[in-house]
Amino acid sequence: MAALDAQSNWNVEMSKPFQVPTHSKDRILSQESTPIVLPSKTDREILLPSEVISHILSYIPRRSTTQGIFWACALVSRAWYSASIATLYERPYLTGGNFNEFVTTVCPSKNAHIRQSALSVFVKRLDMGDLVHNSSRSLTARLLGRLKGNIEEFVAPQASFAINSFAAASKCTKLRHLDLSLISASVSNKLLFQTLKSLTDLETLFFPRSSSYDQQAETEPYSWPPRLKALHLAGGVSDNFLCTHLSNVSPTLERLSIQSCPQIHASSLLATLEKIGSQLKHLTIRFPMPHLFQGSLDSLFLDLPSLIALRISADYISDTLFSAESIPQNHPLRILDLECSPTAGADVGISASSVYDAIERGQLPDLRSVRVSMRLAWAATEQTRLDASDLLEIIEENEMERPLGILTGVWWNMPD
Amino acid sequence: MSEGTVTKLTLVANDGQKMQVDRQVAEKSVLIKNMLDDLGDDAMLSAEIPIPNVNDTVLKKVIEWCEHHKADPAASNDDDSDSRKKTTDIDEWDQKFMQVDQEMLFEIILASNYLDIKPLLDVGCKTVANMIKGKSPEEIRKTFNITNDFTPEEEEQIRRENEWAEDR
Repeated sequence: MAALDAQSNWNVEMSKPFQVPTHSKDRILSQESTPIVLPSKTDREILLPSEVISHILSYIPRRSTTQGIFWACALVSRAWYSASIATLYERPYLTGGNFNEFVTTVCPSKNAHIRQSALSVFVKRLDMGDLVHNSSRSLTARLLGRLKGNIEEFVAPQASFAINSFAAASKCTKLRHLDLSLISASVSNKLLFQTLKSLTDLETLFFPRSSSYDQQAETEPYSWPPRLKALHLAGGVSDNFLCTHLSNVSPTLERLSIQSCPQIHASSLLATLEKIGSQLKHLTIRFPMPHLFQGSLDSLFLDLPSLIALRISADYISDTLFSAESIPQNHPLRILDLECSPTAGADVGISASSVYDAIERGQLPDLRSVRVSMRLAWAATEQTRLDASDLLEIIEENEMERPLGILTGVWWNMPD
Repeated sequence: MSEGTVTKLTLVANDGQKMQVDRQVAEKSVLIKNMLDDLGDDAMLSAEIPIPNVNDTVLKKVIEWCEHHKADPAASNDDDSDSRKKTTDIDEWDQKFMQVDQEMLFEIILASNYLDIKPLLDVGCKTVANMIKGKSPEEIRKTFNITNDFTPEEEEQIRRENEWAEDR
């Protein structure tokens, strides 16, 4: 399952990691599937028990496009209100157009004692990612204060998130998912980790894109959330941060992504992976990372014996990554995504045949999905196309022999 | 278990109508199946099984569905996962089967809920879910013949509180 969602992660931007366009056709929204409604003959009202109404609503996915459906259901009758209201508030879709109305409902008064909204307890996910200047710092803090006992996911807004918001966030002790990647103001790591201290259930953390390294480098490692599974780093993290702090990350961490970190060098990245690499199942290293150079991460696999999915910019590796000495025998990798920055030189490139050879040697027996940026030009000539289809063939053969049940294929025209 | 030998059960609808049904068909209802398991075959096969909450027309319709689906594999209990819930696809036969008036649709849902025929309940609920979309509260009430039991004050408050979620 975990491997599968990496599969659908290609188009993902740092800030919106899990809002992947789902390819499953949303039948409920398509016009042609609307059943014919025949009017009742007798006009007798049949009351459905509330668990049946809930069951009906469970077939409607909670999306921005279905928000209006739950709204309409809440206004039908008392029974329908009870069955729909919690879902409506569970993950409100907020934009500049409805944010103020939402706030009026969820925290009607500045004075917390005056009136506690019964609806605020339903909110499990607060996504302020689409708001630009609609909130204010104090309002964000107030909203978090109202929701603190219940929210499990929070996406911070671009503006209007400041120190007082961090204090409020630290009280949201049920948070499992915290996304600070949109925050435009620079955030001190020290403050960030102070906030994290009380968030013991946190599983996914997106660093602020302008996290700043603190003037005085901390020598004492920060304490990480004990259940952290996925960490997305960006911004001003330094070599010292990797070596001192990331090296001490919780043993539960399985997914790590690093992108747009202009200060990081290959040596500290590799030294950190040597320490924590064996626990990682997913790793993403994306451009721009100006201090990494071509081939600088070619020894990656040696420190990542459990890796299932790798997404990496070809700018930092070469065919050597797939050479016999660079991969442990029987490596479990299933998904390989090769990207390429727009500024990459002509010499940057990974050949399909080098990946093919690694599979042929039995070093990547589980590799099933290879997606390659069109910039790497696997479709450029007769020969490269041939190499790519050979790769596809050996992958399909392996899947036939030992089905892993994941999407199998080679895609060499991925847009950026 | 008497595999292979088709045995008949007698079901009695709430208006007294009796119906002879193959055991395999009747066992699509977990309620009836559990009764058979609890009371033993002998007692059940000779006796009449009252279905007090379901009338003759609805029971016939439900049995028609069970007949058509009698060979379907039984759904496992842990099948209630999210992935399954999200499919609102309804197979063609079921779609035709569900083209009934609203009253019958709700009756089928209630009967399948009572008789514990999960796959039929699912089809009924999916059908209703598909009918709800794009409708205003008033249209939903009209379509399903639901009485607005809010007081005007309540309705006004609910409208105000949830204004943020209204499609505009």
